[in-house]
Amino acid sequence: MRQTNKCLLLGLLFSLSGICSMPVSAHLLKVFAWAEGNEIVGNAYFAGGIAAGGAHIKVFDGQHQLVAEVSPDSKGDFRIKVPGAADYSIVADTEDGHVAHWEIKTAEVAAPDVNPTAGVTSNVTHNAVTSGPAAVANSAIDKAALEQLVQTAVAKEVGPLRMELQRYADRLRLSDLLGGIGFIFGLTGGALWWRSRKQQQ
Amino acid sequence: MAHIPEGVLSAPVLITGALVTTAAVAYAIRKLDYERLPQAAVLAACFFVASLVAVPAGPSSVHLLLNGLMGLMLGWLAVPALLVALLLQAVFFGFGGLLVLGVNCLNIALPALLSYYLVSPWLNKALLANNRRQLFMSGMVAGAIGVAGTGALVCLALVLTGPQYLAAGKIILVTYLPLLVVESLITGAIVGFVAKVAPELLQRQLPQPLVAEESHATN
Repeated sequence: MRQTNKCLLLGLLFSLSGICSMPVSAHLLKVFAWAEGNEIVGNAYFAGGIAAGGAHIKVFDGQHQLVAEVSPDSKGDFRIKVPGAADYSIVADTEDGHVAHWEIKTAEVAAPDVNPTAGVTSNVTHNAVTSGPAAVANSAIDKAALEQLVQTAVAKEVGPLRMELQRYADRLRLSDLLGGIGFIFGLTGGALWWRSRKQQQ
Repeated sequence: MAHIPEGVLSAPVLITGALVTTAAVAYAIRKLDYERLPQAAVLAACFFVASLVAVPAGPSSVHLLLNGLMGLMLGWLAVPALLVALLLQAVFFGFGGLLVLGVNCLNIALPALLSYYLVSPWLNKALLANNRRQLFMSGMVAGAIGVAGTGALVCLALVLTGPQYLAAGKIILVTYLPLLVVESLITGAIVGFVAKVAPELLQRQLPQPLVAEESHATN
């Protein structure tokens, strides 16, 4: 009995020292990406904080064809031009077996032929100079371009925020940690109880 | 990196890992020593938590494994203890996964058993002689066996899956070398500490040849 107590105490010390020195960082490779117009912007990191600058980023389209391949900068950030609106799957790989995935849906990516900046510039000049039926036709085209521009601008602003959210969700929670430890001790307690019941019978 | 994620390994590797792990766990449970269960729980909890303290190394990041220590202190009981801890890591932290659980458990538990069979006799001698240096050294060797064995098995599992992972071997070597040094120092220190405060925790582990154990278990 004394021995068991001693061993439990010892283990608690170990576990506590573990918890105290804890999240330097966790160990799970993650990648997050969003579309800004026809570019995919993203970041590769280890859940809990540190950037995964050494990872390789590959972008696959809906047919599992490799579209692009880049190495992120030291902060794990990357930016890739994609050919057009499609489903994209982003894969980060540290080449030692760590792999992370992220999916981007078609709706997020702009069609390649729409050049939002040019569209709006022309919109402004046309509105200033011309009037009549030509201007009406132009404004219909420009409306699409404008929509694209707004979508890109919003994606640009919201992207980092979404990444923050994602990182927050990936972060390790103390409840998970304590839950796991509790599970281990509960399982042991259950096994010991089962044995004591068997002995009594 | 000891935890290979889901979707990397090929099916034959996964199935082999699962089968071997099942057999090992069944064997360990058959010869279960209930007196050592609390100790196993404590070490499983340590292993569970230790994976959270990861430091960047090369393109990846590494964390302590403690499997050499677990093998030394638990013997065969290390196998179910590791399985439970790995399962919880997969569920709570997303390390590894349920399908790769067998392979991951094998990768970590086999070196634990190896250090049990190779180092325990030496450790017992050192305990009897109360030789501090030898105690520390035996712990160091157990830690080194744990890390080196796991690294080798992870490489093996990746290479068996496909030749494109050959490059991974080099990276694992680079990231595991510093881990090996740190882990062996820490295991040595823990063994030295346990030998001082609670030597009985280490003393009972007398590995016998497998056949002798088998007949003992059926008695």
